[in-house]
Amino acid sequence: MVTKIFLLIFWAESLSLAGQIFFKKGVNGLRAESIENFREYFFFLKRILKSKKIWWGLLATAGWAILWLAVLDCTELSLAFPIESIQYVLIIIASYYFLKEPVSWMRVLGTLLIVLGIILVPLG
Amino acid sequence: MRKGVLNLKVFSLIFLTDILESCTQLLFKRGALDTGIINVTLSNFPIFVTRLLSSWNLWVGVFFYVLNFFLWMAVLFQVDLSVAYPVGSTSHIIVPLLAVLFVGEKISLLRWSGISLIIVGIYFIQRSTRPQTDS
Repeated sequence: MVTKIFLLIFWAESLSLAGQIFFKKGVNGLRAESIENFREYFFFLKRILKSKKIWWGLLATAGWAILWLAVLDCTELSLAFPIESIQYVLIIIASYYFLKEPVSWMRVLGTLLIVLGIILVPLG
Repeated sequence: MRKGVLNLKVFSLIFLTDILESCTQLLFKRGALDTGIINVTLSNFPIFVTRLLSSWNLWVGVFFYVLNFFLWMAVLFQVDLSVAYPVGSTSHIIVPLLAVLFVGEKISLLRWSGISLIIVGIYFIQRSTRPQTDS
């Protein structure tokens, strides 16, 4: 039972991670234009929906949603959320390696503080 | 507007997506409860999905998800994923606590320290988005 939940969470989190990377890659792939008003936002969304990477991201997220529902069915929401904190660390690593983002030590420190805060709040 | 910098506008947008996200999660959870299946196995998985698709909670959740997706794309357009993701996971913790404070209840010291860490963390991440020539 525990192994099953662990595997479910593992695959759910992997899909969620892949989805975010695809989303960001898709958005980065768009020609840089501003979205200052609704008209520009509308055209931005239209281009978003034409991107293949975005659809891969949506597919991965759909897979995540189904698995996550199964996880929620097995465990309490309060238990499922802390497990998600692993995701922050993975996102930072993936942003650095796959998206070549400028991940400075200050950003890593900021993320770790947030994770620590998120763990502390429910304990209080 | 300087691209990549976490300004107040982008921050508010991230804050909003997180609130929407927790609404989505709660609706999904209620959708899962609507199925009446507590232990999902490989054999009852098809029934689980069929019942799920007939749950109103799930569809309202899907609506919230789509709305959230469109806003999240605008966020990712403006800042790095390594900025948006950690910052975008804090409001669902801060807002309920502020609500508690508003009602007049006390917040424990441990919780206050948690909130402080989150705020300092956001500050550090914000600093990491400022142009290098700034200093």
